[in-house]
Amino acid sequence: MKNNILLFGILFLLQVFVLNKVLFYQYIILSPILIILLLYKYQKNSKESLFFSFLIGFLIDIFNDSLGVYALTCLIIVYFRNFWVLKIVGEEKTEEINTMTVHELGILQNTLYAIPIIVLFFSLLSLFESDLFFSINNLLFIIISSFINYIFILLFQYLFFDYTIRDEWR
Amino acid sequence: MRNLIKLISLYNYSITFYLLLLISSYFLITENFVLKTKYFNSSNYIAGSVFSAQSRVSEYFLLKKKNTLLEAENKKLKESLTNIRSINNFIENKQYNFIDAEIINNSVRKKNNYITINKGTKHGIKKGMGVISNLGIVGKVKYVSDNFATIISLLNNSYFVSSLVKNSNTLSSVNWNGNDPKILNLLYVPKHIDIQKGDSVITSSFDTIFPKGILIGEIVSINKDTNSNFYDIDIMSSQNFYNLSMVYVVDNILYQEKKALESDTDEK
Repeated sequence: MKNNILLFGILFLLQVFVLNKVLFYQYIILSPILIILLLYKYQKNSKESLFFSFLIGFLIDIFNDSLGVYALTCLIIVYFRNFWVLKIVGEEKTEEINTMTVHELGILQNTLYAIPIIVLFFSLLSLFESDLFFSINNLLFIIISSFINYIFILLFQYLFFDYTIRDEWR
Repeated sequence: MRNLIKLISLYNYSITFYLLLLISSYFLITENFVLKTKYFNSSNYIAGSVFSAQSRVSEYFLLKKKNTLLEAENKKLKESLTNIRSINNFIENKQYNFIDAEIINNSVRKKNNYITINKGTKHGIKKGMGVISNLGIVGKVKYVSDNFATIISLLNNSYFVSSLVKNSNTLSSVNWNGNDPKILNLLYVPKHIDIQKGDSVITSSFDTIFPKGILIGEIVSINKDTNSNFYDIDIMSSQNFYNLSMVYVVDNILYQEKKALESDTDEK
């Protein structure tokens, strides 16, 4: 629990002070906040998860001068995630899983679970932040940023998360 | 009543979601000035203090680059000073003061970008003042707290700058379309005016906040095939917003006098 809070703090600070300011090659943003939104434990109809996502989005907005953009995006992402995880993983299995990592879901299920959420995240950011949503620049931004972030999140899980799932779920 | 409570408790997850959705949508789409002012002032206070600490650390790593920039700027200033000295009454007619400031936060990717600087009302910054750097114009002061100010960047969809095409002296307006941070749009240049690629676009001084002649950019494409009476012109911004670190806030000493005179004229 302590480790998770520390990890959350580090990821949040990284997002706010470093990665929010950096646009790599004009198309890539790294969003470590996605790691938190994707990986934390699923709880059915959890109001706390909605409040939590709204709050971290709002905190990012404060440091990013982007009134409402991240609050709205994080909220929609968590609502979609809570629906999507049931479709991909199933209710029975989600109750057994602590964190939605690649170790617990397997690479195929993890890809099916994470990619639509990541794409939705960057699509929403583009939609709320830019006037020209249907432009080639924006589409490239969504596709490239989603791909790079998926790789980044995958690497992060292999580096910082252990195998904790019971064998019967593999 | 009991049924209502039952219904609410049954759907409390969805109700919470829609409630938070409403609040965040309101933040996003509202044009409520009071809310934004309060928000920006509080975010200036919180974020400004943290960003200035962060900026102090990162400054050490940028010192060499900054030195080179300052040397180049110094050279340019010396050259212009030599020119200016030849005008005998320069001192008497001095109209602008410049307050130097350091950028502690800057965004370039959004459609409405803002910059935060480490100077505020304590240092003489006022709302509405123009902001320039050694490469050209940067924006206009939007909100000010005691120690910080937020600048509406030239890379902001809602910001228009009064400009002139240097060779033809044509009055026009510059705006950013929210797409490429290096390309700006030059608006309201009539089709009968002869303009060329490579022409410089400078500030006009009509909006009173910038001195005349500050570089905005250079024309890179001219499209005559539009349905309106005006060209569709792209200009390459002279300013590089990606590595902006030092700016000058322009204090027009005669601003109030000019505004007062103009409003008197309007009333009559």
